[in-house]
Amino acid sequence: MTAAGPLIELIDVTRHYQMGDERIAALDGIGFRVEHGEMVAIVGTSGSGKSTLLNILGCLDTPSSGQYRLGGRDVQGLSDDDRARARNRQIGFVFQSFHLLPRSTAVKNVALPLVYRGIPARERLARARQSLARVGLAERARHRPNQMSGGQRQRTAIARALVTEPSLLLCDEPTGNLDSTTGEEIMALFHQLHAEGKTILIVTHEPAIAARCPRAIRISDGRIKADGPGAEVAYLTPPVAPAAHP
Amino acid sequence: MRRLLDAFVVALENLSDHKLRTLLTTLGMMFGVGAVIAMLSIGAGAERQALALIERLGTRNVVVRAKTFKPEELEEIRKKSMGLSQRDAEAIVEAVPGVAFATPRIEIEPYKILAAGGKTKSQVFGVGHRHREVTRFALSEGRFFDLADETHHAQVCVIGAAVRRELFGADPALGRDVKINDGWFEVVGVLAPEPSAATAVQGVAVSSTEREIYLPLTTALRKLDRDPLRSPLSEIVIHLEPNAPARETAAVVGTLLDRLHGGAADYEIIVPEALLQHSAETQRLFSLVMGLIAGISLLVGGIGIMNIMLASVLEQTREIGVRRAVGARRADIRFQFLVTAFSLAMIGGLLGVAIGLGIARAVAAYADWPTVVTTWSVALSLGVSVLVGVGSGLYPAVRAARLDPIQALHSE
Ligand SMILES: Nc1ncnc2c1ncn2[C@@H]1O[C@H](COP(=O)(O)OP(=O)(O)OP(=O)(O)O)[C@@H](O)[C@H]1O
Ligand SMILES: [Mg+2]
Repeated sequence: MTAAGPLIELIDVTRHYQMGDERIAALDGIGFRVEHGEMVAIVGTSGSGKSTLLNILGCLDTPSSGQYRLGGRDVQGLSDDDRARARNRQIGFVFQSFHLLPRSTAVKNVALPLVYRGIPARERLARARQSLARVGLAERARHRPNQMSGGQRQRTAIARALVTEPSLLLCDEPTGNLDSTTGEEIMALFHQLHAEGKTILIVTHEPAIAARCPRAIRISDGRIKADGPGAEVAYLTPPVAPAAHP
Repeated sequence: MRRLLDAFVVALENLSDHKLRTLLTTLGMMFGVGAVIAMLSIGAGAERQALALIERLGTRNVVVRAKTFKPEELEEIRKKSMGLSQRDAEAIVEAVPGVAFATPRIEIEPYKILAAGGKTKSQVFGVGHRHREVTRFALSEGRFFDLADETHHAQVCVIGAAVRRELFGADPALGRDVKINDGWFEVVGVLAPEPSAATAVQGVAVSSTEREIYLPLTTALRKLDRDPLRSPLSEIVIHLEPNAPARETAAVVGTLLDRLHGGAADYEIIVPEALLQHSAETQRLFSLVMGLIAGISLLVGGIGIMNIMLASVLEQTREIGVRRAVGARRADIRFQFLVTAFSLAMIGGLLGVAIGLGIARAVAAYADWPTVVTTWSVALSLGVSVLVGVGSGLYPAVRAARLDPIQALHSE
């Protein structure tokens, strides 16, 4: 993106859930910036608010209060349709459970975001193939998700996230459903994409993964507890409860 | 346009993933549309036939027809009335306002009809020369007989197309002789062929001219024997003046004949114009009942579609979440479900049209019942089924579009 200034700017963002009489603050005053081309790990115990944060960053959810600027533009005021457009043009999601359409082939899955841009089918498929080649899956274009390994499925999902050339990749535990070797390969792919200039945010439980990211943010009870080089933040012992994952 | 095309592709992929389910869902629509088209085709066929028959009676005519009786009844009746006669015809023309002229007809019972080329069976009538003016006789050859033939008791005849075929085949018929019972008659004219066979409208017999032979009335009376107890005339066709009201004129004729026949009900009065109205009413009632049945079956079809669409919203919740996450707007999701419902209805409707056409053909072929599939009945039933389909897809589509993307993504 050519815009000067940070890609992401959060100012005192909160997100409350009303559960009967009780008000749960999933996010409780979060503020940080992410510059273009950064790779940031977000760590924290289960229930600390990592997914909630990612959903807000991805324009799937809106803050209860505070400000979120994406590429210099305020997201709060956007209509539902505009947020859909932002997801389509600026954001690529990668989920723990892949979220591929089970009955569609890899290439059709990858082409899906382009459907909502009104791009002709032929061009969609051509671009989807390029994107698949970029994650090393050119040979698997015609496979359905159930004909692929977990690692291949996640690569397909990454290809789908990349196909629109978004400015931001948001990954919620992308290696959570993969064995460690496959997880390593996926992380290597993210590092490569980072080297190519992509801005990437990765939610993870694994300190080893966070440690290798240039920057990590630790969240606890909806607040930022630490923000710094991955290697420093990753192995911090949470102040109150022990980490859910050793 | 591209959006529509894409949505159709997705809809058809979805539907073909569940072929059996799609078929079962569209079954209601299918049979609804099929039944409507088939029934309307039968109704239209019946109406068209009735109209043709009434036309043949002539809507500007009133027909007085002698009734037939059992021999023992006949003797009783004849004590009061001599039956329908030339005198009645003259009285009607003289006394009833609005009558242009009246032309008589008698029916002969032929026991033998033959010619050099072969023999045949046919109805034989003696008619006045003005008979041609009250019916829509079309001649394919020759002429009809005229006043001169009638006054000279000319031994001439005009024969129907089937009679001509059987007596003379491909040979020329004009100028040849036909023997009817004991008399010989020269063929002066041949009637044009007619498509449908003899039948009846609302209990009134109307014959086709295919198997008929016409003689001058006077000739028939002189040359061919009739049962003396029978009514002297079989029928009087009364032709009305251009503006004369048919029903009222018929009522006056009725009063007159009642007096002339001493109260004996040995005749009946047929008003084709009234039959026409009656036929239209029957048709309207038929259409109403059909519309109701069609409405119910299409409603049932629509409920089937709504049911399956709601089920697939549940089934595809995750998929909806994924689509929303990669940039689908609510409207895109709604549109997708509407197009799917539309496709379901369209598939059902088109199959239904095929079934309806099939039934209509089968009825025409095997039950020998005329059927007419009208374009408007196809358009109407297809249109209604698509409307019902889209209507019943509306609520599921709105529900699908309202789903929260985050919750949709996490549903199992
Ligand atoms: N839809 C919701 N309704 C009510 N509470 C919610 C909802 N979604 C999340 N929460 C609450 O918000 C808090 C943060 O949830 P979140 O999913 O962001 O945690 P997380 O850090 O992603 O945890 P995990 O590591 O287990 O995925 C939790 O306490 C959770 O119970
Ligand atoms: Mg989470």
